[in-house]
Amino acid sequence: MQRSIYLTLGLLLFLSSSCQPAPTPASDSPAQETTPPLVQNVLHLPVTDTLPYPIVEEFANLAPIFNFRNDTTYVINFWATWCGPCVAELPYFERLAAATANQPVKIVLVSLDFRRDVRTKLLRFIRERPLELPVIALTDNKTNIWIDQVDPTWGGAIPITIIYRNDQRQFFSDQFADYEELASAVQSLQ
Amino acid sequence: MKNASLLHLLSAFLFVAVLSSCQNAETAADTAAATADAATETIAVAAKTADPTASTEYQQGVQVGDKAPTFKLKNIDDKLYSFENIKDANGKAPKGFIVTFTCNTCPYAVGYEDRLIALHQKMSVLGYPVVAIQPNDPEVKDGDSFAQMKVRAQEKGFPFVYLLDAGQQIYPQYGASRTPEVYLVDSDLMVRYHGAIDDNAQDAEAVTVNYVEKAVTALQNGLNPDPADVKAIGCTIKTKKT
Repeated sequence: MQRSIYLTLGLLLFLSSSCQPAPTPASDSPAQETTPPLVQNVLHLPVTDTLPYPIVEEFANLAPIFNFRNDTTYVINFWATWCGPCVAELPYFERLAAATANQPVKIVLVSLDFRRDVRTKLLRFIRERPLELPVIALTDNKTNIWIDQVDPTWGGAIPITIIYRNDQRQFFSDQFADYEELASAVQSLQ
Repeated sequence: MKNASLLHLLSAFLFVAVLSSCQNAETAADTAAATADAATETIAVAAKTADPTASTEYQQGVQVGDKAPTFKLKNIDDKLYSFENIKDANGKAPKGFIVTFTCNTCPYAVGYEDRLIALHQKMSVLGYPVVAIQPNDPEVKDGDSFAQMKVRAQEKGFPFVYLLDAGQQIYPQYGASRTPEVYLVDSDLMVRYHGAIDDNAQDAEAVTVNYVEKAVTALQNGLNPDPADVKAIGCTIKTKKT
């Protein structure tokens, strides 16, 4: 009897500790408030306020990201917090980031959240998830001009993903079916 | 022995309490996440057509200058409509149709509802009624069911037909890829303009060009719309994963 009580108490202790929410990495530290280093490495975009990501109001300022020639594989995904299929495939990119941590692969998530949401809803989503991949919020309304510059075959629906390395380039006009599809696309350019 | 069994009971109770509090915490977190983003679409599966020929066909659809695919679809009034029996605001055979793929659930489509109503009121008098077609598969997107379409149309007082592309046979023929997406069709059923309603999806107040209105004016003057094709961001049309 005594033993079973100790056992139960032990289990209890274990359970209560396992109940703790997963540690949110540095959610209170100032590091979280700065732009993820990757974005700054990729684009030197100014961060105008306390957001952990830059807001790009003109596509021209984002354009260089599609044309680097430096042997790095760039994975650029267009998404938004309001887009169900986009949010559903975010784990694939997170997994890719972990799997390619030591490889020349850079992932950037270009958010197309509404201008009125980029300081509120988008920020909340990123903090609460938490989403640790580099995000750039693009708020340029001249979609008719820049959609074609991203890819002429793109009709405007999201998600889309561009994966390129130097002159090799692939355009994915739809959600990835699974992680393997994304991973093998990246692998094929390595 | 009595004490021990009491202790046992107590620890069992504690055990259950901890377990349930743990679950509550998780549920609370989930609920918080869910409410934090109430507008986020439910996780939907977008089609990834495995057959490359099928995918090409659906990507192509019709271009400006092509014949518009015909349809006979059920409206929210439970009647079937086609180009033959849709009338303009004057009760006459229209000079053209503003075929608009739209839905209940896409934030962009919702953001355009009032503008679409205004567009119909202005253009239907001129002979160009809006013909709204809901292309999403209701089994993937619950909020886009025929019943929900009726509810939304009632709430907003849609003055135009709001048709369900049941079985998703029509939107692929057009090559529509997102909501909202417009095909302006003339009286010869030729597509004359394709794409965005105006140049600012996010802010109706900040619109500088009403592309569809401009295209209708061009047709009224016997001209070709310019621009004839304008791209915009929108939501993927929802289909079952194949």
